[in-house]
Amino acid sequence: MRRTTMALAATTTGVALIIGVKAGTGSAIRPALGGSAPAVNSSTGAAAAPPATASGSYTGSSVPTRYGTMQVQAVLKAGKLTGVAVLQQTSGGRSSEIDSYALPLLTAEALKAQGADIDVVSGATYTSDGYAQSLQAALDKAAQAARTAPSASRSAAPRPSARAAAPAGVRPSEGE
Amino acid sequence: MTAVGTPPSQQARHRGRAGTPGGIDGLVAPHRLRSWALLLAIAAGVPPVLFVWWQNTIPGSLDNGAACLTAAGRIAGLLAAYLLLVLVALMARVPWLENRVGSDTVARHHRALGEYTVGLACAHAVLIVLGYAWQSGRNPVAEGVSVIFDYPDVWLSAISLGLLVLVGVVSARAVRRKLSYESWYHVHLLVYLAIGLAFAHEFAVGTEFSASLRNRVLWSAAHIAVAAAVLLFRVALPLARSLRHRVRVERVVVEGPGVVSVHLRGRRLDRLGAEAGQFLRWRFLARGQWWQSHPYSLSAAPRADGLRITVKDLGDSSAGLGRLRPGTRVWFEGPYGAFTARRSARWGRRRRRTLLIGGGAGITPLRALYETLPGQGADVVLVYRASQPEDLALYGELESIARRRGFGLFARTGPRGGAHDDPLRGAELRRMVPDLAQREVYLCGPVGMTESVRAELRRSGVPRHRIHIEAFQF
Repeated sequence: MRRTTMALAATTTGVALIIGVKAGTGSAIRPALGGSAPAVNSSTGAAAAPPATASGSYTGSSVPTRYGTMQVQAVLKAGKLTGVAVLQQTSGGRSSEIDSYALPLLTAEALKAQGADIDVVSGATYTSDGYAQSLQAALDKAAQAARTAPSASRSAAPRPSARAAAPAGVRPSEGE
Repeated sequence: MTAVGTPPSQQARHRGRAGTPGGIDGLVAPHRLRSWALLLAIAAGVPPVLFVWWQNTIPGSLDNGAACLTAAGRIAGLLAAYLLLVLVALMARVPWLENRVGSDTVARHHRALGEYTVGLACAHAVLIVLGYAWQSGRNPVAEGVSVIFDYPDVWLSAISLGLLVLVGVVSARAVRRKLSYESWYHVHLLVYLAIGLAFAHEFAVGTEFSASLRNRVLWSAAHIAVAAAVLLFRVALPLARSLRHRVRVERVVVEGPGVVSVHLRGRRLDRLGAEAGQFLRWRFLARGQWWQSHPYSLSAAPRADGLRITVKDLGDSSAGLGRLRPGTRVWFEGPYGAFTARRSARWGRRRRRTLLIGGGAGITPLRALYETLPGQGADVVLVYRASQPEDLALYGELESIARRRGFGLFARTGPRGGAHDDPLRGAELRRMVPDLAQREVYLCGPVGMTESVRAELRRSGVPRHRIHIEAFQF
């Protein structure tokens, strides 16, 4: 019993050490786009903020992650990001729980940053990455639409308005 | 503290010859090397397990306490799952482990690792729940309930953890003493169920596996390999041997109060390669007996047509052995055990003299060794300890072997005493066997006795690697 206790104590030290080393390999706060999404930026080279003329809902690309596909929709009003609706979110394992706290944080961040230039929510790396990439794609789309038809007002009722109004309202967990 | 029927002529034969410590003598005995090699092999599996975690953890995700706690829980879980496999593999009765490392050594590792593994499994559950609770800001109890019921297959693993703790509890020394061998053994079999139940959640919620096909394949392969070893060595091989050798009870002889010898007959038993000092697990196909198997040492040198075991009434079933009818079919596993003459065999060096110390029913393997060890005169000395003179089972046989070969034989009876009056205290051992520090010592008996005698031997200058212990506690 005594030896077992000692072995467990030694294990605790070892595990703390390896976690410490692992934690030290990456910076604490990391931008979610973090250069890992070349496809998003290269398409248009869009700026973080969409043009002032852009209004309406713009669906972002679906971004495959290890835990399923992330896809969001950006809701803009006169170039201002007013909401983000989640169309697809990660699944499996702890995904629903992680998403239920991470997605509201990400949306709040995005609204504050007025773009996809947001930080990874800790513990929700895949969700954050997918979210940021999809949102960036949506904003790119908005920018492109505004450029091709600068006068066309696309304020015709954002489709999933219910979702957009409550960006934090994530899909109910699927019993996971 | 009486020497029972020990002819003085046999007592006075030990001239304490000065030992000649040669170079090779300082080396570790081969079975100890194997024991270390085994531990090293087990430890070698840890880095890959940690690597799996390392690879599947994103740098930067460990930036808060909750994440670190969860990570520690994951590592604990991975290690526990790995060690569970190791524990089963250790008990798969792989011949190399049983006969070269030694069943008792393997059982000791299994026991120590088992405690540790149950500790890790508990830590896994606690850390994960605390980590999640911290992350989501809920109270740990509510989080624990939701982890068990809302996540796929986790309720199965909760049952698995309960079973592991149960097995750990029945194996704790205090509880184990109060249980019969059968109850303990059958509870232990639940470990197989526990591993099966835990397996599902490892793939369902363990991102190390759910996210990597390669890891899933390797992990499954490890489980399949261990299962195959268990089926081969614990089921197929014993079945084939039992069918081939057709062992039956020949007769049952009462040796003393509560002690019986069972003489067994079979075909071509020499093919088994059994050695004096080894044991087999016996299953007597008689009413009330067939469902349990017990390890009993051979109490005489194995012969091509017959084996003999001598059993003291220890567990639930031993009492029933006295009623075995001649002709009863016997299934068996084994032979197992490294408590043989090979233990003291040395490379290119004269065999050392030997001291055998047996307590109670522990005399059985020593009786077989006493008969078969090479040498003459004081080369082999046997010290036989029992609480009452009438408990000295097989003593007549020992005397006749001693007479025939001139081996030393001592009997010591009486209650256990302290440092000054115990029948097997160091001073008494040295008086009987003055050169004991130069001998290979084989020690077999109940755990308490082997522990105290081992300590006395060490104090008397016997190097650790020359003390060979077979303690029966299960």
